[in-house]
Amino acid sequence: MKQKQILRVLAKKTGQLILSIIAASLLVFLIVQLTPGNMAEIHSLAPATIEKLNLDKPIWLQYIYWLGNCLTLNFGVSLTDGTPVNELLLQYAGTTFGLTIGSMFLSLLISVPIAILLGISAESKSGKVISSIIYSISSIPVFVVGYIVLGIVFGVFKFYPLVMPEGEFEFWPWVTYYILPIFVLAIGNGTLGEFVRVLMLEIRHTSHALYIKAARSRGTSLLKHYIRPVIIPFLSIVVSRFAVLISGVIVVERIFNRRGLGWLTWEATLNRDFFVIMAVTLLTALLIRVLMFAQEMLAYSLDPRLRKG
Amino acid sequence: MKLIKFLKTPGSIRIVSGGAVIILLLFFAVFGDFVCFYQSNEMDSDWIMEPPSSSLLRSFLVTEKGLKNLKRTTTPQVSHQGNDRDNSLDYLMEGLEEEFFNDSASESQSSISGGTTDNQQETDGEDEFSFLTNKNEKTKVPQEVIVTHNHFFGTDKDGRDIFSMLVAGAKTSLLPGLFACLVALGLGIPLGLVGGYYGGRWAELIRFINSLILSFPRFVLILVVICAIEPNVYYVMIVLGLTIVPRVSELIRTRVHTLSNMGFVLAAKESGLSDFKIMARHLFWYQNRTVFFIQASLIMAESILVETTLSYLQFGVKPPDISWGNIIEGSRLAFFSEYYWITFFPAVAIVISILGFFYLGDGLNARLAYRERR
Repeated sequence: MKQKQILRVLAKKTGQLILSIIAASLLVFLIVQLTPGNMAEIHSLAPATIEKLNLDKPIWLQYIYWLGNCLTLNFGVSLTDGTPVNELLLQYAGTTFGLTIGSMFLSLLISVPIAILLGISAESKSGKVISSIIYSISSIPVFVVGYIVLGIVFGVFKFYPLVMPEGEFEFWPWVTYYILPIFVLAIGNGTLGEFVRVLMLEIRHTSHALYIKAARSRGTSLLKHYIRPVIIPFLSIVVSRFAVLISGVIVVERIFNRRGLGWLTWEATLNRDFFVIMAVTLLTALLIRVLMFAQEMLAYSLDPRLRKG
Repeated sequence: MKLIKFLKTPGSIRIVSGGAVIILLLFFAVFGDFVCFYQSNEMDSDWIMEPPSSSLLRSFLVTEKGLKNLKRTTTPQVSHQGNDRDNSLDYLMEGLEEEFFNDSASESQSSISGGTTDNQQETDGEDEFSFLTNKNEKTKVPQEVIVTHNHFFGTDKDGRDIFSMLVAGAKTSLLPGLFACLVALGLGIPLGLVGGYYGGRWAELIRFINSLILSFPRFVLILVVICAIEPNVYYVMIVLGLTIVPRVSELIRTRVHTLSNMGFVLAAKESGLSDFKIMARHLFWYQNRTVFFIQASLIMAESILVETTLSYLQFGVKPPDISWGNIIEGSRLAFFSEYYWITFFPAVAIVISILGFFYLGDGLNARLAYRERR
């Protein structure tokens, strides 16, 4: 009975996932079609290339060709120099992956202990001040934080942390080259403040609940009763912050001069490289949808109230 | 008495401080032209890369002496080492740009920004970073400088007054923000009202649209639109407004959903009011207008953030027009030099105005929660 129900929900959610990805791809394709003139005119492509990229077909057929090619991981070619887009993506994905995962990890590492401390302790003036300071710092735009941090590092250590360190291992150049962008992305972008705020409020909200009082009077361990109600809303915030983090990656890669997907997107926008930007957008939308799907399924398995109805 | 009562409610300090910043910002945006001594695009070739100071301020501080100094130097002076300073920063910019940004992007970027990168200065085998590490002997300003200008926040490499550039930037930041508010609230509130009041199919449809928008990162969506159409702040603001629609409509929907079974709605229905009037007057204006102001304030903060960031990425406000992000982009390497004022003051302006709007929205939110709890 229970198994059947879970399977039914899984099927429904998967259907929604596929439908929304198709809708997203249609949206991206239609936005690109809004361009005045067309791709072939803008880049003055040769007739052979136009035929190869199916640009001479009617729009609905173009969309079907494009989507079909994307399903076989063929995202077209870069319109500036003819490199296949999947080669570009593979080349640049590593940097971005490291930045995103690293900064998410770092901001969790900083925010979770602070939020737990603030949430468990009673509401006080100093707690309010600390949380509002963190919130204020994290709402400074990423590029301002980035340049302030770069300026401080330059002032203190007298080197420019944008050059890839070569040759002998020296502690500070190597550490700052790899850690600084992650640090800036974790601090800025609003992520830190949001995490602290949400987690603190959830913990505070939970500790007023009757089952916590009951557990306390029974003398049992409180941790188990805290984890489930806190982790479900917190996970949904973490997943929704991934989208914001990807926005921040574009800026951070530009400041720190890293060649990643953010840089690729920036350059593609500058050169009006439509296939590259369509591929990047579709892939990020896919990534975020899959993360949301995983989060929903996890919440479903953790929260018995959702299973009931 | 009323004021003291207000100050005791939660969120009041945030409301007052945020509101003060916003009033200041609005004052500069509206009356900026009357406040400034200089036009924002006026290039004062006598004072290039001047540190912040002012003869007006000085005459207030040093009274008699200052006035004497003012009188003594009414004839315009040629600035000391103005040329050297100019070239040194230009060199610094160009050298670093060649070093780290040498690709097609940097070429098109310099052509967009229209900056003068012509440079005849020879390096003579100097260490490339000597500008950064050692302070150049020549650039030392003599101890007794008599100031005859009113550049409160200094000037940049073209001799433009930073203060009047900031004032011009306030205008370009606030206007697009209003546009984003219009889009986000104008679409989000009706969608939320309809979803909450009717429920069922409508709510499902609105939830699907919301989840579709939420699956794109905001900047990626903005960059796609910019790539397809053209770089323009108002297109950016339309997209920004659309990405905020899910948040607003979901907020309004949950609030309206709990309200729509209450007695006053049923009474209004019985007395023959149309659905539109119930939604617009009873559910929105009487119950949810605070949410409107909170969200408007938060959207303004976000729009300043997005506008400055995109201007920094060269897709927002283009260089002849001035935006705070633009100033920082144009002389971003000043962060690494002694000419801190060129980028420091725009950065402060960005941070203060964003925090002002955030605090106003936050304080209003806390006050609303407090009043509803009572």
